[in-house]
Amino acid sequence: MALSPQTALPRHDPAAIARAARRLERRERAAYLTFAGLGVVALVVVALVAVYVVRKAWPAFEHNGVSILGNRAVPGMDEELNRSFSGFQGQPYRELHAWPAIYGTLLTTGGAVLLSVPFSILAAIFVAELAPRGVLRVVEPVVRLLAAVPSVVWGLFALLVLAPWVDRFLIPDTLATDYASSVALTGSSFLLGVLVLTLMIAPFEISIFTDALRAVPDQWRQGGRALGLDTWRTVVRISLPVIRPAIVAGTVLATGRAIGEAIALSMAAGGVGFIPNPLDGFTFFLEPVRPLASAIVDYQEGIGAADLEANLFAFGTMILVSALALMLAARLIVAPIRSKGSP
Amino acid sequence: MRSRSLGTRVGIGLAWVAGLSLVAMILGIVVWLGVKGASALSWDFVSQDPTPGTIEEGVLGGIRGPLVGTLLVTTIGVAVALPIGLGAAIFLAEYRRPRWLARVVEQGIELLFGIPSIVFALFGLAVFTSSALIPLSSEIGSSGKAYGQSFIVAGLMMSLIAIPPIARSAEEAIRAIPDDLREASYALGKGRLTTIRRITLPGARPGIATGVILGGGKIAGDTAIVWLLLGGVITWENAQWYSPEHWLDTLRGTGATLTTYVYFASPVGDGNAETSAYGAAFVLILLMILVNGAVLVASRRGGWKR
Repeated sequence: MALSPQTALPRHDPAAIARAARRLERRERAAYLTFAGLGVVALVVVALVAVYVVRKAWPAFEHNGVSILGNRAVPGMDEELNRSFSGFQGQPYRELHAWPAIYGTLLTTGGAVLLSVPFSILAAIFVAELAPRGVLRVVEPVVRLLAAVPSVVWGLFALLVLAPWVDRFLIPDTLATDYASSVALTGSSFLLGVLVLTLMIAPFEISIFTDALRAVPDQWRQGGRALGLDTWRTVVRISLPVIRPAIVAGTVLATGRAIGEAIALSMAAGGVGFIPNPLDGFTFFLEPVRPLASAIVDYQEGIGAADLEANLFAFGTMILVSALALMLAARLIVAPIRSKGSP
Repeated sequence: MRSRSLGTRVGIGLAWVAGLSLVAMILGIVVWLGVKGASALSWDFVSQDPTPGTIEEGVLGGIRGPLVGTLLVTTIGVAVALPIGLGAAIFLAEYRRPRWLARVVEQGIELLFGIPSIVFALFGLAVFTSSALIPLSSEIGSSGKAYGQSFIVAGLMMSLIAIPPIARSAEEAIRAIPDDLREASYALGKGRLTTIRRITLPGARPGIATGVILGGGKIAGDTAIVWLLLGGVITWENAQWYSPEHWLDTLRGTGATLTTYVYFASPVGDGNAETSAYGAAFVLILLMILVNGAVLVASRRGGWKR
């Protein structure tokens, strides 16, 4: 046991020495327990989050069963949410068919991941392997700053710049009138939701991919060069296969973020519980959606009503479960790839 | 230079385009907000509270309240997250025993990082509306239920999104401290706790500061938690919120931050006022640039020089 020299020790009093030692020991033990306790807080909070959110959502799941994942065109999800707030014909209304929101989340998230991953890989290659030092000094802080741009700013950008532009150039008046009976095409759409999400998750992916590329040992690259590969082919044939686990993990984590993004989508994606139809051709992209997370934001004002509250917590549960499942999937996918001999 | 194949040239070209488009994006955002928001910026805009106008006028006044709100929520969030994140980091980097507990702590932080903030917002509503926690917000009439919306509640939930960055940067910084420094301290008869306090923490200060700034930036940029847990309003409950006798009421009351102000003043919010939204968004992005600059400075200052 190490003793602190500041604690003046009475030299010839064994009992006092033992007391001092015990005091120190107790202090060390208390410190250890404090740090361990603080460390466990995170997991305890996660458990509490899961319990509370699921418990509040339970009435919605219990009442609707599996059909909560389904679709019912009449009255439609938005109207069901309205009714769960105000009741219907004097009765409480507890039906919920959330497919439009689930589909909206799938579309926006899927689209954003498809767009952002190739772009992020290219950008990461640029940052980690190609950029000259001077350029790098600008690009690196830029990636960090992009990751820090608040979602509400991206939403504002979509709402005030992209949406009017889409409305003016991509939605001819005739098209808007054709659709007027089913849904209003305003420019805020599934397409804008995808664009905004792409802008938001790309910086996150870039930083993960860049870190992974930087961790590839230089000898491996030199080996590639020695075999006559040029810079680009070294990247494609050696670096990229090596960082595959990081690409998978980064993509999956980014997917989790996209699923949980609420504000930017509430501003950009149209805010109508509509189900875009791929058979509509290009108009498919211009149709509005209301993903799970943005539905929570859109309806939060009415959360005092118990039935609506249960419905919104059901949305939250779906988001939470997907995010947790994705993290688990990332681990299950990455572990076997990693064991095959990547760094 | 030998001639490169077509594939190589295209690939390298695309990578350059992707990399440089990042710079274009950030320049675009900053310049766009600057041009649109500059006309809203004035001393009055920063020094006055927002006031509700008619529907045509939208929200009037300035952003003093929301600006203070952002600082308040960020301060509360960081103040709660710092001990938890730092404690976890010290446990992971210094003690790490028993092994299974270290795994548990790591998992917890990773999971916390992966949960979207909208879920924390719902969690906050579920917890803080219970009657036992009325002191943290305010009571709905005399129903025995709490509103569950206040600066304290929002700040507490915000701390959850700040814990992972703080824990990570701090752990990394503590690990980077060479063991011989610790051994020197032990050799001088210092115990573990004293070594942590006098050697490890001072040495890891740049990393800890970086984590705090990153966490604070995350809090200041989050909208979902504020929107659900601080009330979808722009005016504070008490117009004289700045006078000391109202401080506690303010903390227990609803309010706004810059992010919810932008959301509220945007066309999707009730206070439709584009120029003000641009102005506040410009202030917000300037804040983020400041935060990022602070990270650069913080990560280079202090610590043990070798």
